Amino acid sequence: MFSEDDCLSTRTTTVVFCLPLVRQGTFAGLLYLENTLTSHVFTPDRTALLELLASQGRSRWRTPVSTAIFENGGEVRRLVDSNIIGSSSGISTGEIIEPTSLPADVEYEVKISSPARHSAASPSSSVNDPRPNLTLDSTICRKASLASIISPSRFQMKIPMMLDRRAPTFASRSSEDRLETGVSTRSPPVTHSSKHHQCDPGEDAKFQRFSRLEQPANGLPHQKAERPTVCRVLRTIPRRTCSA
Amino acid sequence: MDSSVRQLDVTTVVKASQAVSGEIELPRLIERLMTIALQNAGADLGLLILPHGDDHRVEAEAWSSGDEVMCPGDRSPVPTAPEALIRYVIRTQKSLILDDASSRTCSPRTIV
Repeated sequence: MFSEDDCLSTRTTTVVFCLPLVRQGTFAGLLYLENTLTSHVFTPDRTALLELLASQGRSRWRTPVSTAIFENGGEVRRLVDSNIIGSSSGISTGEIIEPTSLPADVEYEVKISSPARHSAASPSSSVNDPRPNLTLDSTICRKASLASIISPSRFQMKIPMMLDRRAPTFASRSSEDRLETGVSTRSPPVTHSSKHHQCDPGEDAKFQRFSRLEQPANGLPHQKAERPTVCRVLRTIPRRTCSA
Repeated sequence: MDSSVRQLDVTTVVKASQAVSGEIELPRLIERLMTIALQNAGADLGLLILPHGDDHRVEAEAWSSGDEVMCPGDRSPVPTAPEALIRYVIRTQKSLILDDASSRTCSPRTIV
């Protein structure tokens, strides 16, 4: 059928396997394999594994993420900087925390949520479930699973916080965010405390300020999240392993 | 695919899946995927073609050399690929296997 193709006629290609990577009906890529030595090597059991892998890698291939999140530290910064969490959003904790003020020896529990989808939820469903529409993108799920999700249903994960303190770009970015979102610049110092700030699931949907997680108060206007996805620090957890 | 999946070795699948999910950086992920693809399918040349705007580009190339699979990270000179075949697969979005591509009488074997 394709034997008249110049490439196939000049080369001694014997076997060709072409596997399209289709994601949600759209073409996301193509895997082309050939073997010039033997014929009939692409048996169904061999190709089945590739199809499985192709379905796994499709989301990654569709959205190429060039920056690694957890490469050399500064995990939350990369998490925020990555396109998936939000291309330019800061750590939205209500009060945007300066990255330099985050203690380095503390594990942070970071929640990824989608306020845009949440706002589209029907009121009845939000009564039953405080976060009914907090579904993550498959890409985000992959990222989250890489970050060792501790509770996939709540989309929380523990991130060992090793923030790069020499991060002027992030600091300027968060100040831009502050201007855009109109959040007060009064940033409470993040206490390197041993307290565990219990987060009420009902509060999660409302994006309360970080300070209010410490001192829960009612009736205060909630900060309206403007970004499609935000990442916020829920609470600080003192690192158990005490390094010298 | 259902009948073929049943024949899969679980160990191989888990291993490959872990290898893929363990990679964070895209270049290394592609390299890993290409290596797995070549090793498991028994191919000696593999190309990963991704859409790039209105066109398509060869993003990665891997070939088997002895026991190893070479997958240079940098963009090597684009190897020639049968364009008609590739466009056919892109249009139909179905897997295609040519058991003897140079044969004129061969008909493609498609798997959904």
